[in-house]
Amino acid sequence: MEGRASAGGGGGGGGGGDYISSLLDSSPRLDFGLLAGGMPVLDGAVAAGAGTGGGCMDKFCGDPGFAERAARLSTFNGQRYAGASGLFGMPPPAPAASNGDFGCGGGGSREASSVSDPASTMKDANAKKRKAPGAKGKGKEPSLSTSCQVGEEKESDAKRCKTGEGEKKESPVKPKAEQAGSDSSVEDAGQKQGKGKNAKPVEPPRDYVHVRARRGQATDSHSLAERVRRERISQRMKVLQDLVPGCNKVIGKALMLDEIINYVQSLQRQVEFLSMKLATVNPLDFSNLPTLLHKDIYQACGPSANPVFSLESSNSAFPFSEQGDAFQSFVPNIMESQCTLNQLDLALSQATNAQYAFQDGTANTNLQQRNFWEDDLQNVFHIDNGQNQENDGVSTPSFHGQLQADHMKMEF
Amino acid sequence: MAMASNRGVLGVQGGGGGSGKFKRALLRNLILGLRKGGVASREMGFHERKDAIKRAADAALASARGAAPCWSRSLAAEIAQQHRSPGPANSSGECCKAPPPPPSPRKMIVCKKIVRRSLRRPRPGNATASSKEYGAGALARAMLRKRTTVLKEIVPGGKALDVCTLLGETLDYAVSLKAQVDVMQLLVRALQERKHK
Repeated sequence: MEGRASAGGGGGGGGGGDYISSLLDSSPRLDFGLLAGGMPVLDGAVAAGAGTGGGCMDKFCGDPGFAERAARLSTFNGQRYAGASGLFGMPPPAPAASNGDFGCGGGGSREASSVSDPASTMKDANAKKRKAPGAKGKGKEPSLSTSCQVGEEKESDAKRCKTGEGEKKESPVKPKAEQAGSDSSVEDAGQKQGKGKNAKPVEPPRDYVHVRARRGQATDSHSLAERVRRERISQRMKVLQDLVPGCNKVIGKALMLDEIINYVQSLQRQVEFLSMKLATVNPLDFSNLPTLLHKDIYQACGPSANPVFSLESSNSAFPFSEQGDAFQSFVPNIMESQCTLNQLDLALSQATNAQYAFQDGTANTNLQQRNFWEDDLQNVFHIDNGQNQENDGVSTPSFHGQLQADHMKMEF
Repeated sequence: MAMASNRGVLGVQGGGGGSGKFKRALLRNLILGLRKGGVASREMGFHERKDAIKRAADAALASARGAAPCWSRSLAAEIAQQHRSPGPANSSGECCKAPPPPPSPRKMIVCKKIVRRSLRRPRPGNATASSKEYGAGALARAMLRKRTTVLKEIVPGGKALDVCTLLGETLDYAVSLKAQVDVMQLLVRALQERKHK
């Protein structure tokens, strides 16, 4: 990868460098345009998720690790989308933390540590893609909250784990004008980095990628950004290679992409087949299902100390369940486990969001996009809206924000 | 029954400590969605039921995963659009709903250098600009281009992503799909066990 990247650095070179640079050249702007204009849902939803401090996020993910990563992902994505660029957002504290050698950003490093602490206490492999400055190059410590090792990323561990190892990143260099921030400032920074070694440390809330110009490499801001993207892509390909079974044997982007495509297609076909099987196997009643799975779910969730809610009122509205006891014990376990998770997620997301200032700008769209997101999913899940008024709290806990959780608690 | 539940426990937790909770959320959402989808009613034909189950599974997946990944939002939008207008979902599922576009603070800055370079790049390589098979580099690029196109069609919402984010989304999507498959297998097994009792 490194050889390929360095060969492709000049703008010619082997297939890999050509591929990515051709990708870059052919459609970076178009994609950005599409991204910015064609997916308003994403921007809004993500910004909503980011702006509300994961108020939606914590409901969505059933796992604290996921929620935390999702919160961070959403904040990063919010940064990215707010900057209207396709590059992956970088955590603001991390550059400051990585600049510890250069004696700057004390507050930034504090922020980094505060962000990284929940991360480190959480699951190991973080979902952030971060060029850790000097992670591998000189054995410096990887970027705190966002480095994740490729070897640890297993399917079971990380939903979305990008390697944070900057292969040869040492110190911050700002790439070109794909970032948020004004064009001129980035250009200046790029030229400044193009000339010299050390970068001035960045003020915290930026989504800059920090790259060092290698010796003998073109220090043009364009090629720097190209190299950044190329290495990002190669890192993700590495992660995918670990994930997809059978990808280890093949070498080369095209074959790996083949394997990945086959894998995803086979999974989709499996889903179809299983849904067909469920359609045949289905004994047409769900009354016994809670009892059947109750033990499974209960053991998987772990017994919790919270009192069990009673859901008679909502149970009576369900057209399918005859007896309410099993369902009551079934769902509340999930509910309370999720509610406790939600508290945790909310706390985490609040802690992380306190450091990000971008959400102010997107406050207007947050509500709209969040409503859109929630409305859509509500419509999906409330196919029969007539008699299921109380079921809002039960069936769609993952869609409403903290308000709904409070409402649920007040009900019971 | 005990065996099924034990296997079920293993199934949910054996999928990995990190994704165990995700699978539980998936399972819960799936069951709730199946109830809502009226799957248990007897009037449904087989195909309708299968489609309803698949839609419920996808909705459960999207909601359990949350709004963080791009594919999840696109999938949810597709389902919502399908639900609103039952019929073949077109590819531009999200555009029909027309959510208010977010304010783009600044226009996309197009760098002339890059555009010029992109136009210049194919030409020096091959004089004959048919550009299909000439040169190993061009061939490799074409292969990769084709595969990325396929991947964009597979991953929901991948059409508007660049390759880098597309790979990330593919990773996330693949893992979530695997979890969904496991959960559905668990459900099928549980139902079959119960049926054979």
